[in-house]
Amino acid sequence: MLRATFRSLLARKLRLLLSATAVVLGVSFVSGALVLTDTLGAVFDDLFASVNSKTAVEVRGAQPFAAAQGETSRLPVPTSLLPVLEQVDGVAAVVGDVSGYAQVLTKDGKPYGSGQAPALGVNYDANPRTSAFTLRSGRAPAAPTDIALDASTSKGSGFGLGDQVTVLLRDGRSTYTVSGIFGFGENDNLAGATLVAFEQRTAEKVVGSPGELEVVRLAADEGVSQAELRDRVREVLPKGAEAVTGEQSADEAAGQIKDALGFFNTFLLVFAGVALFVGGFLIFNTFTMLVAQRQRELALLRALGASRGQVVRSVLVEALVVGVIASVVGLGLGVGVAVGLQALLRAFGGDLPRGPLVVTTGTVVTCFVVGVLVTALAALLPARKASSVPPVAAMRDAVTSEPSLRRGTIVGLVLLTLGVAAIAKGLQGSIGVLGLGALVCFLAVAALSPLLSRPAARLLGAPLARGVPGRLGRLNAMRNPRRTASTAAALMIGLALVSTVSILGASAKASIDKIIAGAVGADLVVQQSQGFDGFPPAVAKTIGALPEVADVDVLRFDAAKIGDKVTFVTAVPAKAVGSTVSLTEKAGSLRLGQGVLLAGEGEAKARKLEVGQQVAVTFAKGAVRSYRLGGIYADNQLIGPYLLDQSASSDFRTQLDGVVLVSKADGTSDAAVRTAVEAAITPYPTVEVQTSDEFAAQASGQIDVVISIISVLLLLSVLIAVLGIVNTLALAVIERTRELGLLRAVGLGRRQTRRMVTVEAVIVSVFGALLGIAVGSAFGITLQRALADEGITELRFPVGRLIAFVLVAAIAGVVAALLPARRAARLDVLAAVAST
Amino acid sequence: MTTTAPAPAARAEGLTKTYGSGDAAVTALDGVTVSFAAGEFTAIMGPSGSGKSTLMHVMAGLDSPTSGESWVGETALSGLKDKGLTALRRDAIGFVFQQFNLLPTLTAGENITLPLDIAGRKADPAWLDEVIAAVGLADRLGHRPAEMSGGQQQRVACARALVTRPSVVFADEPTGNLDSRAGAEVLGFLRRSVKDLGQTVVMVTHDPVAASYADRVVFLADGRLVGELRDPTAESVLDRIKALELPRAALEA
Ligand SMILES: Nc1ncnc2c1ncn2[C@@H]1O[C@H](COP(=O)(O)OP(=O)(O)OP(=O)(O)O)[C@@H](O)[C@H]1O
Ligand SMILES: [Mg+2]
Repeated sequence: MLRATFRSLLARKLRLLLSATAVVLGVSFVSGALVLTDTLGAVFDDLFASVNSKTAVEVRGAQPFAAAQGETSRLPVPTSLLPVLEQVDGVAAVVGDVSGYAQVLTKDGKPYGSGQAPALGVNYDANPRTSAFTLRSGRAPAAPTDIALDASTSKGSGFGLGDQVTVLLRDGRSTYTVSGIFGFGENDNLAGATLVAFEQRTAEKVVGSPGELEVVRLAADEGVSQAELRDRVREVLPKGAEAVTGEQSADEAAGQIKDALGFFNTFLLVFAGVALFVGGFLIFNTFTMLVAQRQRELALLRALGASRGQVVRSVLVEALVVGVIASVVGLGLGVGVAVGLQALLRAFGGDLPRGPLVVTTGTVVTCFVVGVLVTALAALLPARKASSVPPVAAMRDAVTSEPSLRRGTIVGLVLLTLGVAAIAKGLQGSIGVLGLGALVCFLAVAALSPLLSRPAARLLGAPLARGVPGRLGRLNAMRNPRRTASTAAALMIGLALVSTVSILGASAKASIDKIIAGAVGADLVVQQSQGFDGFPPAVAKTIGALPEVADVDVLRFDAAKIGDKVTFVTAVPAKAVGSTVSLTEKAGSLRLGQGVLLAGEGEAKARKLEVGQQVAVTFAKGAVRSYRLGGIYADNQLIGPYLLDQSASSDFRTQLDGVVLVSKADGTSDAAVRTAVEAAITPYPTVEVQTSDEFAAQASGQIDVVISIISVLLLLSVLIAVLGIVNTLALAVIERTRELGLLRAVGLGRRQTRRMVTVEAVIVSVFGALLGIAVGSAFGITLQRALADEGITELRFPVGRLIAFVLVAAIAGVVAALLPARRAARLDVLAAVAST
Repeated sequence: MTTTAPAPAARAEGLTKTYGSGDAAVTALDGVTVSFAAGEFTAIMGPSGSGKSTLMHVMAGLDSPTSGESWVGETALSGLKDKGLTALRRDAIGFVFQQFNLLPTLTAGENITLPLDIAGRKADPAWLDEVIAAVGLADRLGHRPAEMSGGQQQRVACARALVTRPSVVFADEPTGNLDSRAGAEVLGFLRRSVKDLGQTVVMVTHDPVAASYADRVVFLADGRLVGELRDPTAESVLDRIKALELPRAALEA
């Protein structure tokens, strides 16, 4: 029996190869994602361990609240603590670190670096007992005009020892002399950041705040363990400060980066999952058709005494072999994918530290389990079907009897109910359940679609059915509703997801447009084009002094904790409300002032906030203050959920500005004020000026980028589905060899034959696309409804885009038909007629 | 009426067909020169492997000869490429195979008009009615092949072969899979199509009774023409087979 299985495997290697390709692609995504995260994880572990190798204990401020996504918002450590720590028994050396915004300008005045990696200024730690720096050349910065650059920045910017470098700082720009170049052991930089190191005092002044340190690092005397020293240090610490070992600090630092990578990893794995799911459909289709074609052979085996179990096993073994081969190839390809992704990350995110590829046993096992499981599961139903072939079928002419669609319909309806229920549950907050629901819905639609495929093929084929080839193609698409449906279903999945994303994206854009239009009452919006923290107050001062400018209003943003939720607060001058910041009053009064908080309508509704109540706000620097909710405004994209008076920003983490709103002076033209402001901000290359319309367009432009990235990745699954169409058609051409021979014999030309196959393919693919768009629309509407509270209040169908998807699907159908159609047209008429 | 030979609907000259090469070479046709007169019903007989099917396939443009030439009407086949051959098959030749003649997705009526539809031509309604009436399936045109008996299916195939009013209809054992009654229906129809509709039919058969429906029987053995009989009866065919010392066993195969 096993030998017969392998024989049949070999005989159909091309078929199986095609369907295995789908699994290969899925597995290679899985393996690529895992290898990449493991590799980068190991690299960062190493890096931070070596950077922190001299630190026995780190003293740092407590965290008033755990900020979102690894953002550190710790209280500062007072400089006054340094002498206290020096006194602790077992402390060999102490250094207080600061860090903050410092952007190197290139020789032609542009900000150096990718804009993705942070541009940081730090203190140069020259003490060999504590320093993580390895001086490569020159000397440590000693004078207030000295700086040291990391080797990577030095190489990239071309600044060497003795060069004059202009650095943008929080308070403006200054010029320094490069006194030294440093690295971190073997590494040229620290996780891609651009570092400018100042002499200690200077650093505290220009990037830190006077009297405040970010962390204090301690080196231990010989024979004192990290844990021991930590415990001793803890005894002297005041409230609001904490001590951890150097090892823990390194782990946390690496952990933060790994968390960010983990997100990327999940992102990739989701696409791998989609690819595998679609691949499963392909395997299912292929095996179903192969089993149908082998009906006689299987019946003969049964007649010769093979048991049902043996038949099932023979099909499953075939699937297992395909699964194993696909897993091996996918695993290997995945390593290549990891290398490629690393290169891609480097291209976008700047310098990544290098290290050997890490392929863990876990990765290998995962790939095999996933590849084999998907293949075997997909082949299970066809295998069962094979075993139900009665032995008498060997004697009869192989008429593939079409069982009624009723069972599939019932199964489909049950699945649909389950899927919808799961989605409803998942919308309450569990993405996993949501995904599962979507998956079940896909299966449900696939089970139900045979009902639709006949009428759909008739309808879709109508415009193509002019002439015999078109009519025959349409009839062929209609003759086996299950096959048409399941081939189309594979395409449906990808298109449903792309449509969902497109609809959500269009809706999000429309929602943003709606609240952003009129959010800004100012003539110009000045904000940061690069970096994260904001820009120095000097910018607003410079612009405000221009004769073309009547007034400027400064917006500052920071994270804060309100109730139990970490959120964003905005601070503006009270006079801005109603002038440069247009707010619509919904309740109470929008007058800002000391002790007054305003909230957005959506947020107030979600948190059940009432005008007049007291709201406690925990700021990032630790202050906890109580505010009276003075009023509620209609949601405003620029302001966000909470608004405070300008004075509250002294509790913010940085004293940098987020946005400056500019009102032009009376009698000044739009162009004149813009030119003047642009000229005024030239010393600050990270700052850009936009009209309020441009500002709004930028917000929705970002959504476009996200949609495009996701769509491209999802199109991979569409590609796999196209492979499925190729496979189905190729098998159908083989199945219909005699028919084709007959048609050719009675005069069907080669071109007509190709057209016939192509029409069938286009019908199947357009059917799949329409199904996908229908399902995607349902998903899109559901998600938009669910996200209405999060700000996606509008529902938009990107009609043009959706139509384009159908066209793309039609073209995909034509492409998929190329090879099978060629094969059909090339068929040897005599052999075809003679074959039985 | 038999004094002047009618113009041939199809003819072959020195047709040779060799399969394979060297030791394994099989000569299926060995210099066959034959002519099928228009308006005549010809049967081709011979033992299994004598080259009957090969002759039909080559003369119908489904296969190419190793050497020699054949014509359908005035058209020499050797000068045609796939496109020309396809058009010729569609317009000037009709086919009936032993089995599997019909597309399962089309109804009987659609199967009949298929060659016309492929060519994008309209059927001549009078001719279509005549063919359908002759085939006796007027009430079955909406049925699919799966809903018809083997004999009915073969009659539909015959009607399809005639619908384009071809120069010649080639039928390779059209009754080979039918019992004698169903076979008689098909043969009767072929006979009528020659007699009443003026068509030309060439039919391969192993059955002397079937051959007796023809105007003329041509005998083939080892790829060569070995004899001919006019206005045959079942007995005269059998006698001739004996005279040619053809093994009976082959005939009954
Ligand atoms: N494609 C082929 N390749 C090799 N040999 C072939 C091929 N087709 C036919 N032959 C050989 O050519 C010879 C004639 O075959 P053909 O099919 O014409 O015989 P036939 O008279 O129609 O026989 P039957 O009564 O069994 O149908 C046979 O010996 C056969 O084996
Ligand atoms: Mg034959």
